[in-house]
Amino acid sequence: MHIMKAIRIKLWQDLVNYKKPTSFQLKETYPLPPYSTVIGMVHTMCGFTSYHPMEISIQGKYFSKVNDLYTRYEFKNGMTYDDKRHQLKVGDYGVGRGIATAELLVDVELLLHVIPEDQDLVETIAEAFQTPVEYPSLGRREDIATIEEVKVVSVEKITAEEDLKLDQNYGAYVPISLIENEEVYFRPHAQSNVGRNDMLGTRYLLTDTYELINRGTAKAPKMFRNWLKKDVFYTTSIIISEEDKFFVDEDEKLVFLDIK
Amino acid sequence: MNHYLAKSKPEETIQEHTDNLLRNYDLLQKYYPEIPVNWHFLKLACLIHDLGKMNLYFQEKVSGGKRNKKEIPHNYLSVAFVPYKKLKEEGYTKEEIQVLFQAIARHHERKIGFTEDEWSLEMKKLEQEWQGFTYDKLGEYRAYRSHFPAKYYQVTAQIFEGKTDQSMEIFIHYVLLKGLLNRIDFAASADIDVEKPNDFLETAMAEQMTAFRAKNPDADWKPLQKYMQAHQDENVIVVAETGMGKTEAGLLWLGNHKGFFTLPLRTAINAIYSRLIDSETGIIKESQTDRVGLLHSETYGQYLTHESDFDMDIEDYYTKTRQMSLPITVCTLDQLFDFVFRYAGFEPKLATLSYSKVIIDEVQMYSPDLLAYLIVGLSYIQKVGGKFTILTATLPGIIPDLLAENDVIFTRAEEDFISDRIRHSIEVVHEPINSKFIQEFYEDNRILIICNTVRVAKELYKELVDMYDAAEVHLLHSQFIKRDRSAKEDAILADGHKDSKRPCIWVATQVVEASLDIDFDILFTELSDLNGLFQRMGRCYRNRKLDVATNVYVFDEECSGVEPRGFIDKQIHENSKMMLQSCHGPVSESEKLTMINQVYSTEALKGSHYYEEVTGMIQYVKSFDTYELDKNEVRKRFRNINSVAAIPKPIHAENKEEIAGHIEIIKTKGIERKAKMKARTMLSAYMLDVPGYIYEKGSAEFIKINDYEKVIIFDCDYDEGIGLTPKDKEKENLFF
Amino acid sequence: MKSKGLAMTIIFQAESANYGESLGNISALKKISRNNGDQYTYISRQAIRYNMMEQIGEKEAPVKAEGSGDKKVIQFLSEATITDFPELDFFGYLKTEKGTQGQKRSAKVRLSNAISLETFKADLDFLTNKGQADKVGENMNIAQAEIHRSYYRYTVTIDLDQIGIDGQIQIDNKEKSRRVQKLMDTISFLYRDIRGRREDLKPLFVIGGVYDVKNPVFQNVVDIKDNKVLVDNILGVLDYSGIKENTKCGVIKNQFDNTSEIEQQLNAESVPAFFNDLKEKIDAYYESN
Repeated sequence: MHIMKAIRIKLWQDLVNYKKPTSFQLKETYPLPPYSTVIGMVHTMCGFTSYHPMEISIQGKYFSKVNDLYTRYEFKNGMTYDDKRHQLKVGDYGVGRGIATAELLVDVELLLHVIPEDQDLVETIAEAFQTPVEYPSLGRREDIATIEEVKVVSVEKITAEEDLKLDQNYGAYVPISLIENEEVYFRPHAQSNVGRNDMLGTRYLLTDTYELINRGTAKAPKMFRNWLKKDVFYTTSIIISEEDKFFVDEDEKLVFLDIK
Repeated sequence: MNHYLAKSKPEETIQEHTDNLLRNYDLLQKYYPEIPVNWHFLKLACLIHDLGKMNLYFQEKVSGGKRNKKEIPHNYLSVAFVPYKKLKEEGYTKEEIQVLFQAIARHHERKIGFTEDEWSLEMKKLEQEWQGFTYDKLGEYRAYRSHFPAKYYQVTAQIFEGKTDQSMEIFIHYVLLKGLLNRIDFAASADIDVEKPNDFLETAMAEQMTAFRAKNPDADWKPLQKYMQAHQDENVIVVAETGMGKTEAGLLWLGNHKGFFTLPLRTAINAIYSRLIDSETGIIKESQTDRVGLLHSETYGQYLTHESDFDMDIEDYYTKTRQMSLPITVCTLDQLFDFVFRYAGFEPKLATLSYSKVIIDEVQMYSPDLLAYLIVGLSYIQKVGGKFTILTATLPGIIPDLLAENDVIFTRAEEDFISDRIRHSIEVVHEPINSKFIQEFYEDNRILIICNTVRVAKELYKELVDMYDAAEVHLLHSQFIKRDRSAKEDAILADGHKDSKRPCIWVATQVVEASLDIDFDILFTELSDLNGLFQRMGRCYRNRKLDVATNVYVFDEECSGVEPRGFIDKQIHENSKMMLQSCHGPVSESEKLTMINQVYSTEALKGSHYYEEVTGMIQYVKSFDTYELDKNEVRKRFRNINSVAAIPKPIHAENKEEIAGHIEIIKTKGIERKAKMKARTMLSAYMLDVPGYIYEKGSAEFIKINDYEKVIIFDCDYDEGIGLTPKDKEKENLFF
Repeated sequence: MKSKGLAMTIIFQAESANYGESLGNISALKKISRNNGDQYTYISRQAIRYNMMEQIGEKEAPVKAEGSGDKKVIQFLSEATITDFPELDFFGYLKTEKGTQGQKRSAKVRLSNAISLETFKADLDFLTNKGQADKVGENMNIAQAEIHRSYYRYTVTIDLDQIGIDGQIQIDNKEKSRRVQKLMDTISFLYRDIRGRREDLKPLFVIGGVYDVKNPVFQNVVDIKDNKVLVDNILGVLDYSGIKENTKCGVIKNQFDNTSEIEQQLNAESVPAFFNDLKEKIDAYYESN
């Protein structure tokens, strides 16, 4: 089993929304940032202008959720003003104004592992997080993150000598393949009597990376992002069994990777 | 060497208790070696199941100390001694090892009221005790560890049915292992044998035949009985007319196996049981208490009445019966089939049924919910390897269809065992049931009138008493106290005996539909549904050839008790009515079956309330997850009876002293159970089941027995002739 | 330009400054639960931003009445640029126009929500309009409003190197410096008018500075207990590289019970001194580039 280098980043945010793409009137949030958000942050921080393949492991915790009321402006770019539809007139264009609600996670702590495919980038990425060129945000632009720790760690698949668990109150995105291959086990709750041998968590298809696809013509291109999705379980109750093999970093933190 | 106790009264060490389990394990393996349980694991489970009792808190408690709040139930600690590494070496898979862990950890159903950390701590503490614990029988399987890889055991995990064949297979392994461990453990604790062998039935049946032949050299088993004997190894569904020797047929099918005989009604069960154990004519003439048991909600009372016939203490006999350790048990459906809800602790029942044969009689009598339980139950019994037969006088077509839908595999006997005798001749009367019509037929013969509801029965009774003398007119329904009802049942049996010549008129409700061996001259009845009608017809010319023009009059107008006000399905009632329009004069048994088939076929019932209820109930039962309900909850659901057992106020006033005496006995601590059970039986003689709709409108007083039980004194009028009459509140209110 | 960031975390004291969605006629404050599940009120970043831009005294994003009382919002006008409007420079914009994907600028000045440092105890204020109703002989109306007076904490971060630069537009460094300093002045005298009250949001305690490392480390360590600023928590993050030597601290004398501890351990000066110091650093940065 080869050893990989990863950048482990611990972040803190006070109130944050990792928006689910299909929610509008109530901007719902994922419990942890989706892969694309983390990949985007890494690229921004490093100033990359093209995609560098990387594996990401995401885990963390939050204390509570709150619904925050805000004023929402919305417009279709370049749409002319229509008084039935728009509250605001901007030159010839129209903008709608109304209220909406955003779900915010309170007191979020994240533990991210970033493993660039090109291992020579490890130092570059670590550097970018140690001395950020701009105040890092994760989620919405205004959701500033405080970086609590950046550490280059080695990650390898080891045979567990004891059962391994997540940190207290932590949840993680667990790629579905790990569950199907029984590399992780669910930890049933003592008091629940239902579905104890079923999977315990929420299944998400999270955006990971995208390719640009031209749906127009060569002359008048219409570019679309064709997202590749990652099939994961968000769960707080998993355990890795003694005797089994699993990816961990040098401080015995679990790393959730979808690689053979 | 330390001395660790498993029990306190009398003192018994863990080793001694475990030895008892092993003795019972050997018995079980000797009598039923073909049970598809992992015997190796079952033995290990017996050895390990109580080792957790070594923990200090338990030892303090069992030595007379107080229960410590920090005590963790021993079953969750015994897992510390599962030799999983050795089992791995022996080639067992992780799923198999999980099953053993879980069977031990959950051999008592106890809620997990502790945290994982508390559990770990107690598991670690066991190490000290373990060093001072010796038990030679553990041998090479002696092992201890304070924690286990999660893949083999997590304290909060459980084994569920799941949705795949593979998970179902593991689940069945678990049910057998845990269920049999429970059975063995109970038996060891109660000091009874886990199983008594069935090594006598085939001989007994042969002897029975020899006895017949002594009287009549040409005697032989009837075709039905021969058929059943030939199909011992199959699940068969057979239609056989009453009087074809169904009980013997069932026993011949059972052979030398463990078996359960289920019937819908307690009275019928009592009758069959009495017949079986009769020391003169019975099939099981000796050691009855090791061979056959009776199981329903009033077992103890029944045993008390037979006490003089037994060669052993009722207390032990009762325990053996409850623990299902007897080879033959006659019981009600609810005693067996409540496992369909898979409540926490259902496993011993299903595990027992995995090596048993179940005989189900008179299946047409079951209400939609019980029918649903039956169907789901049979599908489970088949999954675990048990066998069943349905022996019934009439078979509603819907039943085989539903069984097939639920993947139950069975053989439907190609022929029905019916006689070509004609016993009944019907006339349908297109008017509501009324005394005037009946009046014309009463000429010193024996008349039986069956109504759909107690209300109508009472009205008719009053009218008839006015016409004739009360001495000749009698009433029987469910709203009599047990004492009076028993007396009335005896009286109707005497009046209805085929040799009785005393003229009489009996007005009754469906309580006489089944199981009462009576034979009247003429039957007048409201139409309920076809099944009910044919059942009722069985109470008239029960075993005689038709020798009159008409002996059954069916009133099919304005029948009481039909939906929406009553319990009789409207559509089935209508279908039955239609079917009867073309029916006039003599009707043969095979004609009856044909009619039943048409009225109760799946096609005819589709969309009816009844059908919806059965299929809905099946879905409902299946929708429960394993262990979702607890046992008491299920018992409640199973009773699902909307009635309250109470003593009518006037009866209480008459027997105040005596009732108070019984309650005192039940209350007093330290009196042995038998005396208490006797007192309960005596007390229940003054009770009747007040239907919910009457109870809610009335008022009641309560006499407390203890925190869980009270005796209800219901404020109503009561008369030995007419039974319970609710107080009419509105009338009373006029005086205020 | 060399990458530089300004970050500071501020404590102020205010009362019931931001209401959320209400049920019935009880006005509810915006609240979250944290720590042990206690409730804390907060003032949203949008509210604070609004007050800053209202009070900065720069050319305001014009909001002028049109035809039927509709309003124009400057951010959406394609001809509005950061040259004219510091607001667009600080907080970014999103424009609607034909033929492009829409022009976009992300915020360079970023604010956190201001979260209360003391728990909310569900106190209610009782209001009537009896005085007004009596004048016209009508029945009065009653209402209730949640009320909470507490210390609040918020964080401001500015990517100094990105101010005044937007695509082709390059603003003169002097102007950049003026703008940012003006914002500092606004923050040091910030207030909020709400429901007929003027709530003072001026800093009572502030810690931060101008750094090479853009990481708002004080965001989650500044806290208050029993009217004392928890100095030890703050000392814990000063050791991050490049933080300690660039950090200053300001405190209003005798506002907190441990003023002397703050002054000794964190070398705190007065709040005005803190801001003057900060403005000098800002100026020096833009001068040197």
